[in-house]
Amino acid sequence: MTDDVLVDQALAGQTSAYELLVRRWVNSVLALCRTKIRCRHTAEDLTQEAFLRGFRNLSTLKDHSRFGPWVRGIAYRACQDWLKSKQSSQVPFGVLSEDQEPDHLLATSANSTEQIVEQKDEVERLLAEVDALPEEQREVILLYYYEQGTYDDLARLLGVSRATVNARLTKARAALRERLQGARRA
Amino acid sequence: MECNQVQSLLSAWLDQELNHEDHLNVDNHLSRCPLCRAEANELRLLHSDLERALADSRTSARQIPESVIAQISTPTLTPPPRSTSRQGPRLLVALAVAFLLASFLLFPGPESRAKSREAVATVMMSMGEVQVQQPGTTQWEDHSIVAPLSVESGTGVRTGPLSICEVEDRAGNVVCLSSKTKVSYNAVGNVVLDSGQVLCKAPTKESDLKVQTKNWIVTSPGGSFSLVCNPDGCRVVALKGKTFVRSDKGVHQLQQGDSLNEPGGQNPLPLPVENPTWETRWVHPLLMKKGRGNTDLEQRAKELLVRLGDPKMKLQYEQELRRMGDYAAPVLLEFVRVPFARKMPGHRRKAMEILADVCSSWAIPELIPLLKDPDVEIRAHAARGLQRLTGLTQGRAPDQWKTPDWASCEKTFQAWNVWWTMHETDYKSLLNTAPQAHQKRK
Repeated sequence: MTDDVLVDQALAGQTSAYELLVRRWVNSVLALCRTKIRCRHTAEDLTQEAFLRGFRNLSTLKDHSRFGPWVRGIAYRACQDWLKSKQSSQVPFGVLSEDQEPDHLLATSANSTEQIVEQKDEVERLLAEVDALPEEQREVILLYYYEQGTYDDLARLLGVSRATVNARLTKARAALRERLQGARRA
Repeated sequence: MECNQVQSLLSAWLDQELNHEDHLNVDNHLSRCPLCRAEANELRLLHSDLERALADSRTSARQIPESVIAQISTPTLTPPPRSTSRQGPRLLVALAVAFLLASFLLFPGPESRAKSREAVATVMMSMGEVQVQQPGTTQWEDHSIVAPLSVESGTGVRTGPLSICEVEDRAGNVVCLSSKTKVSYNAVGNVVLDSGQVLCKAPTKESDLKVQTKNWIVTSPGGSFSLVCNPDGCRVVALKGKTFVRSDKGVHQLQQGDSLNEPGGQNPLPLPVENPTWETRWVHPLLMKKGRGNTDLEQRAKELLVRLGDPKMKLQYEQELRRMGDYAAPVLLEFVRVPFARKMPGHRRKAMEILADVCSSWAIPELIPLLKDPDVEIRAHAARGLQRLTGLTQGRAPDQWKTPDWASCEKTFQAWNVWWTMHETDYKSLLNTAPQAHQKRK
């Protein structure tokens, strides 16, 4: 069933149709939130928030077949809002425990990456290295592994060419290999 | 292809995103170059590590839809305007449905019990005899499938030593049974493999196909896998996409081309398979029976073609390509025609030799230009193919095309072109019998 049909059904009151839309787009939205926000739990909260905002505002969606990009746009704004609120020391969703510093939650906080890498096991080391990638590369890596789609799918989602997706993935993997090999040698 | 060029393509190669020509080039280079092979293995390792590292997040992502729906259903969230008036009735309807469902489950009458055995799948096609065991009976009944055979929940299906069949359930999940295989259908998307070998295909990522064995539950949303069980244990091979194997030891995630064996010690690890297509070649007759335009079969022919250079297995691969016959011909023709194949003359000649033996009349106008190929062996095979299909040589026997003196062949080449112009209409109906893959390329 296509997105536009599901949006019509959701607008007609069928919650199950909206659930299908969420299932279809959740990986893509989560990948976007994880690109912006390092903390997994915060990214999940923001993903959920994006879909809830989407539901509230579904009647404002003009082209029903564009649900995916539309809800990703909402997620992007939700992340921006969260980052702004973090800058003004207001952290919603209650994700901070006593021993966590707010800086660790920012995906772009490169300085703290090295400290974290020292303390984590291999999986977390790899995730930390993913977080330390430039944003474009991080986004394409997360999207590829969450969404498990083709380069064409990713290109449509990101609004770039298939060749750009390929180039970013190639660079991201090369950078990860280099960093991980460097860490092993050290 | 140079090493640096191959290494720049490895990422897309790993993701199966290269075009056919580049993919073959990389495959061929890797079979020769240990340095690039090591690079490819490193990259594959990183790919598996990333898969594993991000698996947790994907698992928790699955809970988000439920959480969203739970919150949508609470009165604090404003629903979309058009649905507002329906909230009340929907709640009442939901309660009524819940009541009816509970009544049905707690007090099923004789009629409802009978209805619970609904048709869940259909035996779509078979080669040889298929036996079916109806629910609640111990008898196996023979069925020679002429028309599709309906399978109810609780039905057993088994094949004999010389038969294979394909079963499709109501959700579009396909399970092909090899010979001497026994399965039972519990429900839509829920199959138990008792013994033998199956090839399972879930059409979309939302497909919920679970195949159970004694110790495993195997799934592959949107992908396909092969599963074989014998008294020593089971073996699963991920053929397309990712395959998940759940056991009491946890969940194993297999990448495309990986296998998992049981028994495999305390912590069996997925291992790459040399040639998954070869392991599941028993399914080819079923795919061929499906008719033209079969992308699965085309892909399998490509994989065999890539491996034709393997010194140990080339004879077997060649035989299998020949068995595929005209279905393999478009892939062979494409390979012979692409410029890069000229760098692999031996491989190309073998592909042309098979093509000349197996193609049918649709290939006549494709063979004529190959009479002018720079490689004299290709010319000779093209002439042999034309002789087989038309009974004509235009005065020059296939072996005579091996002469390096093209000028002496030119007249016959022109004769073939003239002949085709005059006889094209005679072959018009046969041209339409080309495999769909070939027609698409045209």
